[in-house]
Amino acid sequence: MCPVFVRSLTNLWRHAVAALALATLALCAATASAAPMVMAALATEPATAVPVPSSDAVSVSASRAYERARSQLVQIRTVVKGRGSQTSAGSGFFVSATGHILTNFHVVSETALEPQAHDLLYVTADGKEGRVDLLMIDVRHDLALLKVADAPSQPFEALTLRPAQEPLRQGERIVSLGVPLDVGFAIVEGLYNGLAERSFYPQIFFAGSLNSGMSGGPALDQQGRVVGVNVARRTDGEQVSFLVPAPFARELLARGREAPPMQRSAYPELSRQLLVHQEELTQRFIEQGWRTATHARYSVPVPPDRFMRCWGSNQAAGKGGLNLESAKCSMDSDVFAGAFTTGSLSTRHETYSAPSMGPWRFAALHSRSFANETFTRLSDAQMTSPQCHEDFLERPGLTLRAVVCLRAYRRLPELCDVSVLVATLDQPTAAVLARFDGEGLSHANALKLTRHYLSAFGRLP
Amino acid sequence: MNGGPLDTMTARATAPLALLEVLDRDGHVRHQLKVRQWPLRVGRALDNDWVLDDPHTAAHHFSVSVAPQGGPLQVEVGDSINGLWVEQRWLPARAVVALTVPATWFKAGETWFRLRTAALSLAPELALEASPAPLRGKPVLGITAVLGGAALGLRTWLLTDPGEDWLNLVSIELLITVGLFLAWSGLWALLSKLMTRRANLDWHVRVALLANLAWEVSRVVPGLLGFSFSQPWIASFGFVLPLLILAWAVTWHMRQVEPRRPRRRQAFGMLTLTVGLFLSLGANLSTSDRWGQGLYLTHLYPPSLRLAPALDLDTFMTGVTGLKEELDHKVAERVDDEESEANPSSEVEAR
Repeated sequence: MCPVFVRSLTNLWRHAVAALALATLALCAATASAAPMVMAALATEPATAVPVPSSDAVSVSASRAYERARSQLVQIRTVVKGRGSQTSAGSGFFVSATGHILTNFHVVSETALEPQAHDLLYVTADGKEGRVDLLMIDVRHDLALLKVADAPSQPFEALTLRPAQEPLRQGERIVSLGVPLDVGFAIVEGLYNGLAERSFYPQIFFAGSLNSGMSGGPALDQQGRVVGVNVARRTDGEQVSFLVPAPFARELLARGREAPPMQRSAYPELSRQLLVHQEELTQRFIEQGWRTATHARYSVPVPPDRFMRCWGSNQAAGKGGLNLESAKCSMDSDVFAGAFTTGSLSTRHETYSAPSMGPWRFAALHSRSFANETFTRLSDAQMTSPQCHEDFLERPGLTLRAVVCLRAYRRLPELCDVSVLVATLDQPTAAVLARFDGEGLSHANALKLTRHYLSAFGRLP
Repeated sequence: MNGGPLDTMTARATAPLALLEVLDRDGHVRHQLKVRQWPLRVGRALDNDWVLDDPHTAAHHFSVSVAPQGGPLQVEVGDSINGLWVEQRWLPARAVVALTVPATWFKAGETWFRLRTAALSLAPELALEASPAPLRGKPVLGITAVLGGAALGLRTWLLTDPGEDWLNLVSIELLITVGLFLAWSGLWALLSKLMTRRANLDWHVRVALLANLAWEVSRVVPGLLGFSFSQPWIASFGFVLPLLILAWAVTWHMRQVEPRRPRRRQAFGMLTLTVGLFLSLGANLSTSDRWGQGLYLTHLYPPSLRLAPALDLDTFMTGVTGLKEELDHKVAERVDDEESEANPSSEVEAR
C-alpha cells in the first residue's frame, strides 16, 4: 500500500475509501473476492517467463517436506447438504491420531454459520474422502478445529506443532502446503520474516506466494513441524503472505479436543468472540491516546501507529490556491465474520485552506467535500440502514459540525458500526474534515469511542 | 364562428324559437342557425334548412318539429343508414323521439349539433380573469429574466476555483438553461395553440421565468435555514419546494391550455404534485430508508451564518445515545435475508 497523492479535495476521500478497501482485501486474500484476481494473474503469466531453479538443494528439501506431510494434508470442502455440490474449498491438516484437523475459520464459515444448508468433507492427497464435524472456532485468529466424523479404521498420521519455546530465526526457510485454487496439492517455499508489524493479533510475515485455496494449510519448518497456518496474503504486493502462529492453533486444539460437534449455527459464538475482540480493541485504542502536533491550529485526533498504519500527503497551492493535507490511519487486519469482515477501526482527516477563494466559494467547496461521504458498508440484508445524529458541537475554542451514524448487524444484533464525521466551522476559508470509523462494536463501546474521538478536538492554545 | 348566426327566415322581426349550433370536436361552436319556424330539416339535400357536407349523413338526415297535438318538440330520423345519436341514445331510421330538455346534443354522421330552445335559461355572465401582477408588464419580464440569469451565474461561480474561466462555464450553463427554457415554454405554447388556437408564448415565457427564479431560490433556502438553525429536516424535505413550484407552473401554464376548465387545471397541478411527491418519497425510502432526502445536512455555509448554538459534548452524546432505540427497531424489521446474500452457486470457490 503506497501513499496516495491527492489532486482534489473531493477525490481525497475517494482515495481514502479505496485505500481502506484495499487494506480489507489484504486480509481476505483467501476469500472469494480475491480469487478472480489471482486466477487472472496466473492465466496471464507465460510459462516460459519463469526460470526453473537450477539449484536442487531447495527443491530436495521442499520435496522431502511434502513427502513427509503428504498424508497429513487434506483439502476441506464445503458442500451443499443433500446435493453434494461444492461451494468452497480450502486446506487443512491432521493434528491428532484420532482425526482432529486444523484449518481457518473462513474455510468452514458457511457450514459454521449455516449448518442446516452445508456439510464439510475432507479429501486426502490420495483421494480418501469423509465427513468432518466442526468442534470449535477461534474467530479472532481465524482458526477452526474439525474432527473426522466416522470412527477411523486406523490412526491418522498427524503433524506436530513447533513448540513456542523454539522461535524461528528471521530468514529461516519454511514451506507452506495446501491446495491452491482446487488445482491439486502443492508446496510453496518461502522465508520466515518475523511477525507482521502493526498487526492487532500476531501474524507471521511469510515471504512466499500463498494462493486462494491454500487457506488453512500448514506452514512447516525444516523439521516438518507446523510453525503457522496459512491465512492471507496481500494483493497489492508480491510474496507478502501471512500465517497464524502455531501457539494459537495449539491453544485451540487444547480447548476443543474433547468438545462435542457444533450442531447449531455459530452466530451466537461468532457474536460472543467478536464482543471479546471489540472490547480488547476499544481498550487498547483508548489506552494508547492520540498523537500530538497533528495540526498547526487545532488538536485533531490521530492515533499512534501501534496497530494501525498511517499515511499522509500534502499538496500546497494546488488548483484554486487550495492547500491540502491529509492523513489516514487504518488497521491492516479485520476479523472474518462470514459474508463480511469487521472489527477494525480507522481515522482520517483532511486539512485545507484557500484564502484566495473567499468565504462563499470556500463554503461551497467545504460542502461538497462534506457531502461526499458514504455511510453504507454492507448490503441491507446484512446491516440496517444508518441512523444518524448531528448538530453543532462546541469544543475548546472551536465549533464543529458533527454527524454520528450507527448501523447494526442483522445477524449479530449486539454489534454495530459507528461513523463519526466532523467539520470545523471557525474559519471562513480554512477547515478540517475528519472521520472516524469503527466496525463491529458494542453499542456502549461505539459511544465510548465516539466520545473519545470527539473530545480530542480543540483549538490549540 | 363565422360572423353572426344565420336565419331560417329573412323576416328578422319574428322572435327566434331555437338556435342550432354546429360544434367542433372540442365543443366550440363553428356555425349557428337561428330557428324561427318548425320544422327544422337537416341533411345533405339542398332543400334542408341546414345543408351538410358530411358524407356520412343522409340527404334528409333528421328533422325537428312540434308534435302534431302541440306537445313538446320531437326529432324524427330520416332515411339514414347511420341513424342519429340524441344525447346518449342511438336512433335508427324513421324513429321519432320527443325532446324534453331545452338544450339537446345530436350527432349525425361525424357532425355534432346542439339545439338550444328559447326555454333555456342563460347562465350568468362570467367575469374576465385578470392576469396576476407578476405576470403582467415588461419590467416584470425583464427583472425575472435578469434575476434568474444572475442566480444561475452565482451558482456556477460558486463551483469554480479562483483563476478558472467561470464566465465560459456560465455561458455554457446559460445556453443549456435557455435551451431547456425555450423547449419548455415552446411545448406549452404548442399545447395552447392546439387547444385554444392561440400560442400565448408570452404567457408561458413569463410563467417559466417566474418558476425558474423560484426554483433557483428553492435550491438555497432549505439548506441555508437548515444550517443556520441546525434543523436538518428543513434541508431534508427541501425537495418539496421544487415540486410545489412545478405544480404551480403547470397550473398556470394550463390557464392558456384549458381556459374554461379551472377544475381540470387544479387537478393537473395536484396530479403533478402528487406524482412528484410519490416518486421523491419512494426514491428517498429506497436509497436511505428515510422519508427525507440524504442522511445528514450536507450544506455548510460561512461560520458567520450559524445562528443555532453549539452543544456541549455531553448534550450531543445524549442525542447519539438515543439512536439505540431506532437501531434496535431496524434490526427487528428484518433478520432473515442473509441467506439470499450467501453464494448458493455450486461453482468451486477456493479458500
